Amino acid sequence: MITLTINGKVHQTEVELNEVLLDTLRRLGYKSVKRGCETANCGLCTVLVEDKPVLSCSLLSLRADGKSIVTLEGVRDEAKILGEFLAQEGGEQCGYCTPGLMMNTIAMKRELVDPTDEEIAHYLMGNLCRCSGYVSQLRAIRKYLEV
Amino acid sequence: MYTVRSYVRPESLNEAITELRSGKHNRVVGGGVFLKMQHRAIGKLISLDGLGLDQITETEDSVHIGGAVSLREIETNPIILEHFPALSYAVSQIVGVQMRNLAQIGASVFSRYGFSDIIPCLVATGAKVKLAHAGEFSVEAFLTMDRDWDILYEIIIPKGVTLSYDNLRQTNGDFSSLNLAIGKSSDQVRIVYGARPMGAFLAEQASAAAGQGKTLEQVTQLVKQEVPFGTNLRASAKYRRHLAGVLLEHLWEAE
Ligand SMILES: Cc1cc2nc3c(=O)[nH]c(=O)nc-3n(C[C@H](O)[C@H](O)[C@H](O)COP(=O)(O)OP(=O)(O)OC[C@H]3O[C@@H](n4cnc5c(N)ncnc54)[C@H](O)[C@@H]3O)c2cc1C
Ligand code: FES
Ligand code: FES
Repeated sequence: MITLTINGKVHQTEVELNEVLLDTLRRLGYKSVKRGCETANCGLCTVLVEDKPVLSCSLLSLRADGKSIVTLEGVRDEAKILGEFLAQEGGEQCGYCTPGLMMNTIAMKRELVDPTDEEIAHYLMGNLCRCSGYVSQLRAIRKYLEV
Repeated sequence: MYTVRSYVRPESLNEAITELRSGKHNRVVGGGVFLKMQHRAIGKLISLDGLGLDQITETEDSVHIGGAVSLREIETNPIILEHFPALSYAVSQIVGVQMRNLAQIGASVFSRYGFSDIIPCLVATGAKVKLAHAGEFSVEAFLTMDRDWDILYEIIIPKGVTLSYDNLRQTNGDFSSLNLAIGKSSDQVRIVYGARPMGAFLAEQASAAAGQGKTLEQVTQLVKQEVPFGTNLRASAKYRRHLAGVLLEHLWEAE
Protein backbone atom coordinates (compact mmCIF):
# COMPACT_ATOMS: atom_id res chain seq x y z
CA MET A 1 0.00 0.00 0.00
CA ILE A 2 1.37 3.45 -0.92
CA THR A 3 0.16 6.94 -0.07
CA LEU A 4 0.02 9.63 -2.75
CA THR A 5 -1.22 13.17 -2.26
CA ILE A 6 -2.66 14.02 -5.65
CA ASN A 7 -3.77 17.62 -6.21
CA GLY A 8 -4.05 17.95 -2.43
CA LYS A 9 -6.18 14.81 -1.96
CA VAL A 10 -4.68 11.85 -0.09
CA HIS A 11 -5.00 8.44 -1.77
CA GLN A 12 -3.94 5.09 -0.38
CA THR A 13 -3.65 2.43 -3.01
CA GLU A 14 -2.12 -0.94 -3.75
CA VAL A 15 0.31 -0.97 -6.68
CA GLU A 16 2.11 -3.67 -8.64
CA LEU A 17 5.86 -3.81 -7.94
CA ASN A 18 6.64 -2.74 -11.51
CA GLU A 19 3.77 -0.26 -11.90
CA VAL A 20 4.62 3.23 -13.11
CA LEU A 21 2.97 6.41 -11.85
CA LEU A 22 1.20 6.99 -15.18
CA ASP A 23 -0.84 3.81 -14.70
CA THR A 24 -1.57 4.49 -11.03
CA LEU A 25 -2.78 8.02 -11.74
CA ARG A 26 -5.04 6.93 -14.59
CA ARG A 27 -6.44 4.08 -12.50
CA LEU A 28 -7.25 6.60 -9.76
CA GLY A 29 -9.20 8.68 -12.29
CA TYR A 30 -6.64 11.33 -13.27
CA LYS A 31 -7.24 10.86 -16.97
CA SER A 32 -5.51 14.11 -17.99
CA VAL A 33 -2.28 12.14 -17.69
CA LYS A 34 -1.72 10.68 -21.14
CA ARG A 35 0.26 7.75 -22.43
CA GLY A 36 2.60 8.57 -25.31
CA CYS A 37 5.88 6.93 -26.27
CA GLU A 38 6.50 5.31 -22.86
CA THR A 39 10.23 5.52 -23.64
CA ALA A 40 11.04 8.88 -21.99
CA ASN A 41 11.13 10.75 -25.28
CA CYS A 42 7.87 12.66 -25.82
CA GLY A 43 6.98 14.40 -22.51
CA LEU A 44 3.24 13.71 -22.90
CA CYS A 45 3.00 11.99 -19.49
CA THR A 46 4.48 14.93 -17.50
CA VAL A 47 3.21 15.49 -13.94
CA LEU A 48 4.73 17.41 -11.04
CA VAL A 49 6.19 15.37 -8.18
CA GLU A 50 7.22 17.51 -5.21
CA ASP A 51 6.80 20.49 -7.57
CA LYS A 52 9.24 19.15 -10.16
CA PRO A 53 8.15 18.04 -13.63
CA VAL A 54 8.82 14.33 -14.18
CA LEU A 55 7.83 11.64 -16.67
CA SER A 56 5.11 9.58 -15.04
CA CYS A 57 5.70 6.81 -17.62
CA SER A 58 9.14 6.23 -16.14
CA LEU A 59 8.71 6.75 -12.38
CA LEU A 60 7.94 3.61 -10.38
CA SER A 61 4.83 4.22 -8.29
CA LEU A 62 6.56 2.69 -5.26
CA ARG A 63 9.20 5.42 -5.47
CA ALA A 64 6.44 8.05 -5.36
CA ASP A 65 5.16 6.76 -2.01
CA GLY A 66 4.56 9.66 0.40
CA LYS A 67 5.03 12.28 -2.33
CA SER A 68 2.86 15.15 -3.44
CA ILE A 69 1.73 14.99 -7.08
CA VAL A 70 0.06 17.56 -9.31
CA THR A 71 -1.74 16.68 -12.53
CA LEU A 72 -3.53 18.95 -15.00
CA GLU A 73 -6.73 18.47 -12.96
CA GLY A 74 -4.96 20.28 -10.11
CA VAL A 75 -4.00 23.38 -12.14
CA ARG A 76 -7.23 23.98 -14.02
CA ASP A 77 -7.14 27.79 -13.81
CA GLU A 78 -3.60 28.08 -15.14
CA ALA A 79 -4.30 25.44 -17.80
CA LYS A 80 -7.39 27.35 -18.98
CA ILE A 81 -5.41 30.55 -19.52
CA LEU A 82 -2.55 28.75 -21.28
CA GLY A 83 -5.01 26.68 -23.33
CA GLU A 84 -6.71 29.83 -24.64
CA PHE A 85 -3.39 31.32 -25.74
CA LEU A 86 -2.42 28.04 -27.43
CA ALA A 87 -5.74 27.99 -29.30
CA GLN A 88 -5.48 31.66 -30.35
CA GLU A 89 -1.93 31.26 -31.63
CA GLY A 90 -2.44 27.94 -33.44
CA GLY A 91 -0.15 26.23 -30.95
CA GLU A 92 -2.63 23.38 -30.55
CA GLN A 93 -3.42 21.52 -33.73
CA CYS A 94 -4.10 17.81 -33.22
CA GLY A 95 -3.73 18.52 -29.49
CA TYR A 96 -1.90 15.30 -28.75
CA CYS A 97 1.09 16.97 -27.07
CA THR A 98 -0.91 19.60 -25.19
CA PRO A 99 -1.40 17.98 -21.73
CA GLY A 100 2.33 17.35 -21.29
CA LEU A 101 3.29 20.72 -22.76
CA MET A 102 0.91 22.49 -20.38
CA MET A 103 2.27 20.71 -17.30
CA ASN A 104 5.86 21.48 -18.23
CA THR A 105 5.09 25.10 -19.15
CA ILE A 106 3.36 25.60 -15.80
CA ALA A 107 6.41 24.08 -14.05
CA MET A 108 8.69 26.36 -16.07
CA LYS A 109 6.69 29.48 -15.12
CA ARG A 110 7.16 28.57 -11.47
CA GLU A 111 10.87 27.81 -11.84
CA LEU A 112 12.37 30.32 -14.28
CA VAL A 113 12.33 34.07 -13.77
CA ASP A 114 11.85 36.05 -16.99
CA PRO A 115 13.18 33.35 -19.36
CA THR A 116 14.50 34.22 -22.84
CA ASP A 117 13.07 32.44 -25.91
CA GLU A 118 16.15 30.23 -25.89
CA GLU A 119 15.63 29.29 -22.23
CA ILE A 120 11.97 28.51 -22.90
CA ALA A 121 12.86 26.29 -25.86
CA HIS A 122 15.49 24.52 -23.79
CA TYR A 123 13.18 23.92 -20.82
CA LEU A 124 10.50 22.53 -23.12
CA MET A 125 12.93 20.44 -25.20
CA GLY A 126 11.44 17.24 -23.77
CA ASN A 127 7.94 18.01 -25.12
CA LEU A 128 7.70 16.84 -28.69
CA CYS A 129 5.08 18.24 -31.07
CA ARG A 130 4.52 16.85 -34.53
CA CYS A 131 2.22 19.63 -35.76
CA SER A 132 3.02 23.12 -34.58
CA GLY A 133 6.67 23.56 -35.54
CA TYR A 134 6.95 25.04 -32.02
CA VAL A 135 6.85 28.68 -33.20
CA SER A 136 3.15 29.16 -32.50
CA GLN A 137 3.54 27.37 -29.16
CA LEU A 138 6.34 29.76 -28.24
CA ARG A 139 4.13 32.77 -29.10
CA ALA A 140 1.37 31.39 -26.87
CA ILE A 141 3.75 30.61 -24.03
CA ARG A 142 5.25 34.13 -24.21
CA LYS A 143 1.74 35.57 -23.73
CA TYR A 144 1.02 33.16 -20.88
CA LEU A 145 4.24 34.17 -19.09
CA GLU A 146 3.12 37.80 -19.16
CA VAL A 147 -0.16 37.08 -17.30
CA MET B 1 9.01 -3.52 -18.92
CA TYR B 2 10.68 -5.77 -16.37
CA THR B 3 9.00 -7.95 -13.78
CA VAL B 4 9.97 -7.84 -10.09
CA ARG B 5 9.74 -10.43 -7.32
CA SER B 6 10.31 -8.02 -4.41
CA TYR B 7 11.11 -4.37 -3.79
CA VAL B 8 13.59 -3.46 -1.11
CA ARG B 9 14.29 -0.05 0.41
CA PRO B 10 17.51 -0.47 2.40
CA GLU B 11 18.46 1.96 5.13
CA SER B 12 22.20 1.91 4.56
CA LEU B 13 24.63 1.45 1.68
CA ASN B 14 25.95 -1.69 3.38
CA GLU B 15 22.49 -3.17 3.48
CA ALA B 16 21.91 -2.16 -0.16
CA ILE B 17 25.05 -3.86 -1.47
CA THR B 18 24.38 -6.98 0.61
CA GLU B 19 20.86 -7.19 -0.83
CA LEU B 20 22.15 -6.61 -4.37
CA ARG B 21 24.78 -9.30 -4.13
CA SER B 22 22.40 -11.84 -2.60
CA GLY B 23 21.14 -12.99 -6.04
CA LYS B 24 22.24 -12.62 -9.65
CA HIS B 25 18.84 -11.38 -10.84
CA ASN B 26 18.82 -8.50 -8.36
CA ARG B 27 19.12 -4.92 -9.63
CA VAL B 28 19.31 -1.45 -8.13
CA VAL B 29 16.99 1.21 -9.48
CA GLY B 30 18.24 4.76 -9.96
CA GLY B 31 15.84 7.00 -11.89
CA GLY B 32 14.44 3.83 -13.46
CA VAL B 33 14.20 5.49 -16.89
CA PHE B 34 16.48 3.07 -18.71
CA LEU B 35 15.73 0.01 -16.61
CA LYS B 36 12.08 0.40 -17.55
CA MET B 37 12.84 -0.28 -21.18
CA GLN B 38 14.52 -3.59 -20.43
CA HIS B 39 12.56 -6.80 -20.51
CA ARG B 40 14.07 -8.76 -17.66
CA ALA B 41 12.89 -10.80 -14.73
CA ILE B 42 14.31 -8.99 -11.71
CA GLY B 43 14.53 -10.73 -8.36
CA LYS B 44 14.95 -7.99 -5.78
CA LEU B 45 14.69 -4.42 -7.01
CA ILE B 46 16.74 -2.29 -4.66
CA SER B 47 15.95 1.37 -4.18
CA LEU B 48 18.70 3.90 -3.53
CA ASP B 49 16.21 6.44 -2.14
CA GLY B 50 16.78 7.50 1.44
CA LEU B 51 20.50 6.61 1.55
CA GLY B 52 21.63 10.24 1.40
CA LEU B 53 23.26 9.68 -2.00
CA ASP B 54 21.47 12.66 -3.52
CA GLN B 55 23.92 15.34 -2.35
CA ILE B 56 26.62 17.40 -4.06
CA THR B 57 29.30 18.68 -1.68
CA GLU B 58 32.79 20.16 -2.00
CA THR B 59 36.06 20.10 -0.12
CA GLU B 60 39.03 22.34 -0.70
CA ASP B 61 40.31 20.24 -3.59
CA SER B 62 37.36 18.25 -4.94
CA VAL B 63 33.66 18.09 -5.72
CA HIS B 64 31.69 15.04 -4.51
CA ILE B 65 28.55 13.90 -6.30
CA GLY B 66 26.36 11.21 -4.71
CA GLY B 67 25.34 8.31 -6.96
CA ALA B 68 21.63 9.16 -6.69
CA VAL B 69 21.98 12.82 -7.70
CA SER B 70 19.63 13.58 -10.60
CA LEU B 71 20.97 14.90 -13.89
CA ARG B 72 18.85 18.03 -13.44
CA GLU B 73 20.52 18.69 -10.08
CA ILE B 74 23.93 18.44 -11.76
CA GLU B 75 22.77 20.91 -14.38
CA THR B 76 21.55 23.50 -11.86
CA ASN B 77 23.70 22.97 -8.76
CA PRO B 78 25.74 26.06 -7.76
CA ILE B 79 28.88 24.02 -6.92
CA ILE B 80 28.87 22.39 -10.37
CA LEU B 81 28.09 25.69 -12.08
CA GLU B 82 31.02 27.34 -10.29
CA HIS B 83 33.65 24.65 -10.92
CA PHE B 84 32.47 22.67 -13.95
CA PRO B 85 29.94 24.69 -15.98
CA ALA B 86 30.76 22.52 -19.02
CA LEU B 87 29.52 19.43 -17.15
CA SER B 88 26.27 21.25 -16.43
CA TYR B 89 26.01 22.11 -20.13
CA ALA B 90 26.78 18.55 -21.24
CA VAL B 91 24.05 17.17 -18.99
CA SER B 92 21.57 19.83 -20.12
CA GLN B 93 21.71 18.38 -23.65
CA ILE B 94 20.09 15.11 -22.54
CA VAL B 95 16.41 14.66 -23.56
CA GLY B 96 14.39 17.09 -21.40
CA VAL B 97 13.95 18.56 -17.93
CA GLN B 98 11.32 15.98 -16.91
CA MET B 99 13.63 13.09 -17.81
CA ARG B 100 16.64 14.74 -16.16
CA ASN B 101 14.66 15.16 -12.93
CA LEU B 102 14.53 11.35 -12.81
CA ALA B 103 17.73 9.96 -14.36
CA GLN B 104 20.67 9.69 -11.97
CA ILE B 105 24.41 10.08 -12.34
CA GLY B 106 25.35 6.77 -10.65
CA ALA B 107 23.32 4.78 -13.16
CA SER B 108 24.58 6.93 -16.03
CA VAL B 109 28.23 6.21 -15.26
CA PHE B 110 27.89 2.62 -14.01
CA SER B 111 26.07 1.64 -17.21
CA ARG B 112 29.04 2.84 -19.36
CA TYR B 113 26.78 3.80 -22.26
CA GLY B 114 28.79 4.45 -25.42
CA PHE B 115 26.57 7.45 -26.22
CA SER B 116 27.21 9.06 -22.84
CA ASP B 117 27.70 12.82 -22.67
CA ILE B 118 28.74 12.58 -19.03
CA ILE B 119 31.52 10.00 -19.06
CA PRO B 120 33.84 11.90 -21.47
CA CYS B 121 33.58 14.94 -19.15
CA LEU B 122 34.49 12.84 -16.12
CA VAL B 123 37.46 11.18 -17.89
CA ALA B 124 38.68 14.61 -19.03
CA THR B 125 38.68 15.90 -15.44
CA GLY B 126 40.46 12.80 -14.08
CA ALA B 127 37.43 11.99 -11.87
CA LYS B 128 37.13 8.89 -9.68
CA VAL B 129 34.21 6.62 -8.87
CA LYS B 130 33.52 4.87 -5.59
CA LEU B 131 31.86 1.46 -5.77
CA ALA B 132 30.31 -0.12 -2.69
CA HIS B 133 31.86 -3.54 -3.33
CA ALA B 134 34.94 -3.06 -5.54
CA GLY B 135 36.29 0.21 -4.10
CA GLU B 136 37.68 3.37 -5.69
CA PHE B 137 38.89 3.70 -9.30
CA SER B 138 39.59 6.40 -11.84
CA VAL B 139 36.65 6.64 -14.27
CA GLU B 140 39.09 5.70 -17.01
CA ALA B 141 40.05 2.45 -15.25
CA PHE B 142 36.41 1.74 -14.41
CA LEU B 143 35.48 1.86 -18.09
CA THR B 144 37.59 -1.15 -18.97
CA MET B 145 37.48 -3.27 -15.81
CA ASP B 146 35.26 -6.30 -15.23
CA ARG B 147 32.13 -5.15 -13.43
CA ASP B 148 30.58 -7.19 -10.71
CA TRP B 149 27.20 -6.62 -9.00
CA ASP B 150 27.94 -3.24 -7.46
CA ILE B 151 26.62 0.20 -6.55
CA LEU B 152 28.29 3.39 -7.73
CA TYR B 153 27.70 5.63 -4.73
CA GLU B 154 30.01 8.60 -5.29
CA ILE B 155 31.92 10.48 -7.98
CA ILE B 156 34.86 12.66 -7.00
CA ILE B 157 36.03 15.37 -9.40
CA PRO B 158 39.29 17.16 -8.65
CA LYS B 159 39.10 20.94 -8.66
CA GLY B 160 41.65 22.95 -10.60
CA VAL B 161 40.70 21.42 -13.93
CA THR B 162 39.13 23.65 -16.56
CA LEU B 163 36.62 21.53 -18.44
CA SER B 164 35.20 22.32 -21.85
CA TYR B 165 32.67 20.23 -23.80
CA ASP B 166 31.00 20.26 -27.21
CA ASN B 167 28.85 17.86 -29.20
CA LEU B 168 26.99 17.48 -32.44
CA ARG B 169 23.44 16.14 -32.40
CA GLN B 170 21.27 15.67 -35.44
CA THR B 171 18.37 16.99 -33.42
CA ASN B 172 17.64 18.07 -29.84
CA GLY B 173 17.08 15.11 -27.57
CA ASP B 174 18.91 12.66 -29.81
CA PHE B 175 22.17 10.99 -28.76
CA SER B 176 25.36 12.84 -29.73
CA SER B 177 26.75 11.85 -33.13
CA LEU B 178 30.07 12.71 -31.49
CA ASN B 179 31.09 14.58 -28.38
CA LEU B 180 34.34 15.97 -27.06
CA ALA B 181 35.48 16.95 -23.57
CA ILE B 182 38.79 18.61 -22.80
CA GLY B 183 40.21 18.96 -19.29
CA LYS B 184 43.11 21.34 -18.67
CA SER B 185 45.01 21.53 -15.42
CA SER B 186 48.34 23.15 -14.53
CA ASP B 187 50.29 20.06 -15.61
CA GLN B 188 48.25 18.32 -18.30
CA VAL B 189 45.61 18.38 -21.03
CA ARG B 190 43.13 15.49 -21.51
CA ILE B 191 41.27 15.24 -24.80
CA VAL B 192 38.40 12.73 -24.68
CA TYR B 193 35.98 11.77 -27.45
CA GLY B 194 32.65 10.04 -26.73
CA ALA B 195 29.73 8.65 -28.73
CA ARG B 196 32.23 7.53 -31.41
CA PRO B 197 29.72 5.59 -31.24
CA MET B 198 31.80 3.48 -28.84
CA GLY B 199 32.50 4.78 -25.34
CA ALA B 200 34.82 7.53 -24.13
CA PHE B 201 38.37 7.43 -25.51
CA LEU B 202 41.25 9.43 -24.06
CA ALA B 203 43.48 10.55 -26.94
CA GLU B 204 46.82 10.25 -25.15
CA GLN B 205 49.17 11.37 -27.92
CA ALA B 206 47.00 14.31 -28.90
CA SER B 207 46.61 15.27 -25.23
CA ALA B 208 50.37 15.19 -24.69
CA ALA B 209 50.94 17.27 -27.84
CA ALA B 210 48.36 19.85 -26.73
CA GLY B 211 50.09 19.98 -23.33
CA GLN B 212 53.40 20.71 -25.10
CA GLY B 213 51.84 23.65 -26.91
CA LYS B 214 51.63 22.04 -30.38
CA THR B 215 49.35 23.71 -32.95
CA LEU B 216 45.69 22.87 -33.54
CA GLU B 217 46.62 21.28 -36.89
CA GLN B 218 49.21 19.01 -35.30
CA VAL B 219 46.88 17.95 -32.48
CA THR B 220 44.02 17.35 -34.92
CA GLN B 221 46.23 15.12 -37.02
CA LEU B 222 47.13 13.02 -33.96
CA VAL B 223 43.46 12.74 -33.00
CA LYS B 224 42.60 11.42 -36.45
CA GLN B 225 45.42 8.88 -36.25
CA GLU B 226 44.83 7.52 -32.77
CA VAL B 227 41.08 7.74 -32.03
CA PRO B 228 39.02 4.83 -33.42
CA PHE B 229 35.69 5.96 -34.89
CA GLY B 230 32.85 3.67 -35.93
CA THR B 231 29.73 3.77 -38.06
CA ASN B 232 26.13 3.53 -36.91
CA LEU B 233 22.76 5.00 -37.91
CA ARG B 234 23.78 8.47 -36.76
CA ALA B 235 27.07 8.90 -38.59
CA SER B 236 29.77 7.08 -40.52
CA ALA B 237 33.29 6.64 -39.17
CA LYS B 238 34.53 8.97 -41.91
CA TYR B 239 32.10 11.72 -40.92
CA ARG B 240 32.96 11.28 -37.24
CA ARG B 241 36.68 11.57 -38.03
CA HIS B 242 36.02 14.85 -39.83
CA LEU B 243 33.75 16.05 -37.03
CA ALA B 244 36.45 15.28 -34.46
CA GLY B 245 38.55 18.07 -35.98
CA VAL B 246 35.59 20.46 -36.11
CA LEU B 247 34.71 19.95 -32.44
CA LEU B 248 38.37 20.32 -31.45
CA GLU B 249 38.58 23.58 -33.37
CA HIS B 250 35.44 24.88 -31.62
CA LEU B 251 36.85 24.22 -28.18
CA TRP B 252 40.32 25.43 -29.16
CA GLU B 253 38.90 28.73 -30.37
CA ALA B 254 36.67 29.10 -27.31
CA GLU B 255 39.77 29.35 -25.09
C1 LIG C 1 15.31 8.35 -24.21
C2 LIG C 1 16.66 8.44 -23.54
C3 LIG C 1 17.65 9.24 -24.12
C4 LIG C 1 18.89 9.35 -23.50
N1 LIG C 1 19.83 10.16 -24.07
C5 LIG C 1 21.04 10.30 -23.48
C6 LIG C 1 22.03 11.16 -24.03
O1 LIG C 1 21.84 11.79 -25.07
N2 LIG C 1 23.21 11.27 -23.38
C7 LIG C 1 23.48 10.59 -22.21
O2 LIG C 1 24.58 10.75 -21.66
N3 LIG C 1 22.55 9.78 -21.67
C8 LIG C 1 21.36 9.60 -22.27
N4 LIG C 1 20.43 8.75 -21.73
C9 LIG C 1 20.80 7.97 -20.54
C10 LIG C 1 20.40 8.70 -19.28
O3 LIG C 1 21.18 9.88 -19.16
C11 LIG C 1 20.65 7.85 -18.03
O4 LIG C 1 22.01 7.50 -18.00
C12 LIG C 1 19.82 6.58 -18.04
O5 LIG C 1 18.46 6.91 -18.12
C13 LIG C 1 20.08 5.78 -16.77
O6 LIG C 1 19.75 6.52 -15.65
P1 LIG C 1 18.58 6.07 -14.68
O7 LIG C 1 18.77 6.80 -13.39
O8 LIG C 1 17.30 6.18 -15.36
O9 LIG C 1 18.99 4.52 -14.47
P2 LIG C 1 18.11 3.21 -14.20
O10 LIG C 1 17.17 2.99 -15.30
O11 LIG C 1 17.58 3.26 -12.81
O12 LIG C 1 19.26 2.13 -14.23
C14 LIG C 1 20.01 1.82 -15.39
C15 LIG C 1 20.98 0.66 -15.02
O13 LIG C 1 21.92 1.10 -14.05
C16 LIG C 1 21.83 0.32 -12.83
N5 LIG C 1 22.03 1.27 -11.74
C17 LIG C 1 21.20 2.28 -11.37
N6 LIG C 1 21.78 3.04 -10.40
C18 LIG C 1 22.99 2.48 -10.15
C19 LIG C 1 24.08 2.80 -9.27
N7 LIG C 1 24.06 3.88 -8.48
N8 LIG C 1 25.15 1.98 -9.26
C20 LIG C 1 25.21 0.88 -10.08
N9 LIG C 1 24.23 0.55 -10.96
C21 LIG C 1 23.14 1.34 -11.00
C22 LIG C 1 20.44 -0.31 -12.88
O14 LIG C 1 20.41 -1.52 -12.15
C23 LIG C 1 20.26 -0.53 -14.38
O15 LIG C 1 20.92 -1.69 -14.77
C24 LIG C 1 19.18 8.62 -22.31
C25 LIG C 1 18.17 7.83 -21.74
C26 LIG C 1 16.94 7.73 -22.33
C27 LIG C 1 15.90 6.88 -21.68
S1 FES D 1 4.88 8.77 -22.49
FE1 FES D 1 6.32 9.43 -21.03
S2 FES D 1 7.79 10.44 -22.23
FE2 FES D 1 6.43 9.70 -23.73
S1 FES E 1 -0.38 19.77 -31.73
FE1 FES E 1 -0.22 17.83 -32.67
S2 FES E 1 1.49 16.95 -31.65
FE2 FES E 1 1.47 18.97 -30.92
